[in-house]
Amino acid sequence: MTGLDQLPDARISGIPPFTVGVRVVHATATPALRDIVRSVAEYQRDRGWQVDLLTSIPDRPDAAASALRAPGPQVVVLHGSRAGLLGRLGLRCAVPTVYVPHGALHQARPVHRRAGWTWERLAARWTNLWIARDPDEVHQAMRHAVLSPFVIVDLRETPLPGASQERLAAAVSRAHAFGRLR
Amino acid sequence: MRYTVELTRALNRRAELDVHVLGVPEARGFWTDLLGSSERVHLMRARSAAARSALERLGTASSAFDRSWDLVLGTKHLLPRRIHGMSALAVHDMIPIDRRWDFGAAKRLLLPGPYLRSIAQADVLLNMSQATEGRLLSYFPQLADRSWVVPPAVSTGLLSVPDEPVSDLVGRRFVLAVGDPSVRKNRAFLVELWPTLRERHPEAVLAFVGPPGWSGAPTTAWAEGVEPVPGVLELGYVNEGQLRWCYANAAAVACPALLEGYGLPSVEGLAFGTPVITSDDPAMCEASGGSALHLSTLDVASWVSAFDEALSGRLPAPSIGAVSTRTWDDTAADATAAVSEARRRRART
Repeated sequence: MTGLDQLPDARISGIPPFTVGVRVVHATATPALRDIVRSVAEYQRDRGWQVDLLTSIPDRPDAAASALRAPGPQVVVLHGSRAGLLGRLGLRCAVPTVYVPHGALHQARPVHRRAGWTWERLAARWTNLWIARDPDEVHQAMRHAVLSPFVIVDLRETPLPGASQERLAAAVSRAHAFGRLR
Repeated sequence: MRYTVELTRALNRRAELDVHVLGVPEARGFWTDLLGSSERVHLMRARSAAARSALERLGTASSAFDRSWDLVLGTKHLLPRRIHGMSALAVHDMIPIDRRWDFGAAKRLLLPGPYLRSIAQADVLLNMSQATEGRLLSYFPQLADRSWVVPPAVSTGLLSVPDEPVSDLVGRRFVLAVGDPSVRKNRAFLVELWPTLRERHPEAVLAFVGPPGWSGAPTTAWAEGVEPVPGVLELGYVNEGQLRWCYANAAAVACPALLEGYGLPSVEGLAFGTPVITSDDPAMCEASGGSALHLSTLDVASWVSAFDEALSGRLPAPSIGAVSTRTWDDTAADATAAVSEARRRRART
């Protein structure tokens, strides 16, 4: 596998991501991800974006969709498998949707992993961008016939380096260009 | 199609190459004229484009598949499954995966698998831009050592043909948008902002030019001559002389596409000295460089302001030095060099 540092030029946006203000909602229902999601939200807010942060979301997809849409976002970013499930099932691409699993399927038990890949194949139609943490995650997803548009951003380091923050922001600012909208 | 024709013509000019083409019976005369020999034109009989693609991937329906070649170059997303020789694939974009819902149901279901398998199989991947290579490597990071960036060039016909005025636009101030009406070209974005602009420039016209979209795909197209909103004109297909006139006489060329593999209209607009405004798509920003204005399509006000400047004659034209001098011979030379390097690496291993 090629490491991230060996990717020649994987530019995502033709202009710096904070050139234009973006209204974005970051959501997670996974307590372990709250710190990283908060740091991403703060980074983007400090650079002029209008960022709303949801650290818990309703358990029903329709209610989750209402909560995610309430701030009027241009992009919704769902962190972790639970937010990814409820958010995508509820929104179904009514708003450009970025999914960041943070390695959720790597960490799942085998039986959950199989069900997870089956769900991801279905959810690909409601995923404008999938942020994979490394090439291996893309490889695994493609091996399971998940045809979401992928962007690789390493979000494992704490605190998150500026380069990863910028790359994630570039992907978020371009989410509307991928997948589909209804 | 234009890529295939221009690249074949340029490759055929290279003395060291013996170029053959696999085509449909209807194009036999065209390819025979281009290559100067009917023996180098191989035919494939199939009733539909879908059947042709399937047979091409299976490597049947033409005796050419049974022969041994130094190189087989796939110019339209596919390579035959079994090849006697090296293979190269032109990677125009990753849109069959990145935006597969832009395609009709048949293409959406049938193209991604064979396309991805063709990519994985190719010895040489010829990407239209660094941005396209970036998209390719997002799916196949392990293929970096088989990947080259070989951009296309402006059509030789467009550069040499005489201007042919378009009567609907003569004497009018207009912004030009070139491309098919597929959703990713983002025509709807321009149509939605145009009434705001018409408040400041009541006579201004937004002219759409381009071929029809893919069969069965969702589009944003109107009948030719119809104005979907006042001041928006659908011209449909125009010939190269008319296209040249449009580029040369437009107040600006608008390229709001959401996702491109290269973005030829942005380069063509610059080649004719017209201000170009593109979206933040990285391929178009790369192709048109600092000579064009790049704006996010999330920022509607900036687009309105830029068109206002252009229609008022205040948006500066690109400088002479900004115009790309790249030719199709350069593209052919770069592609040939990439294949030679791949062959050297293969020999070493």
